[in-house]
Amino acid sequence: MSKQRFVKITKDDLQGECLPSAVDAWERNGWTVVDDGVSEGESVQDVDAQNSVQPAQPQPQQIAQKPVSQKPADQTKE
Amino acid sequence: MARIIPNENTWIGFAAAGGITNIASPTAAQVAAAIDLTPYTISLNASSRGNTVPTPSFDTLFETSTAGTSAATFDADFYRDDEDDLAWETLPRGTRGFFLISRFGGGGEDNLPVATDDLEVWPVMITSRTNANMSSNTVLTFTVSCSVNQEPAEDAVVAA
Repeated sequence: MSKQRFVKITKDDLQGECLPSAVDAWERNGWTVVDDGVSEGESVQDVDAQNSVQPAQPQPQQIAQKPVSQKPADQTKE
Repeated sequence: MARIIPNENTWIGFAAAGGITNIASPTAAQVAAAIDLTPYTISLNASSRGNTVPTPSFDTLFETSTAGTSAATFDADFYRDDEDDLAWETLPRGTRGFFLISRFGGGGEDNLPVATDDLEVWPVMITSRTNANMSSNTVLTFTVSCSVNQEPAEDAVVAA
């Protein structure tokens, strides 16, 4: 599992972080790099996987209606 | 009071991860340090939805329900620019940060929100950044989709 590296940037008294590929954009906006690649964030691959394969989340309606639907009407008559 | 369109009214910015310390009350300096994406923005969809949980019972024919969870989605369309591709370069996939939305514009230069102005702060992570289909006689654009990894502050106020 690959971890995404982030670059710490600063502007005036403010601090932030960005991806290495976005450093140029932030520098054009007055930010400067203070530390290169010291923090690690969430895996980008993991995020993509979550987006491409939507996990089947239980629907509240299904949960609430399950006890009712599992018992056919004719069984209750026996 | 008036009904307005976003053109020349709305301001859209993107703050770096860690660049906003209190999303309910970002400071004017933090907002000013954000990258102004307004000139690149074509459309933006920041929305939330809530779920209801059915709570039926045998003693009534009325299907009651109660409040459940809620979630939010964020995606936006921007222009590419062959001279200053700022939006594209600011928002690579995997970027974490905050979209700042001033729907009615702020009191600063070019509608920049300043102290006491209303603001929306959406904590996001870019999950995809994709170019739009290329087509003859069509401007080049791209779309970003984001996960919203924290409850957004839709009624934030800029602090001094």
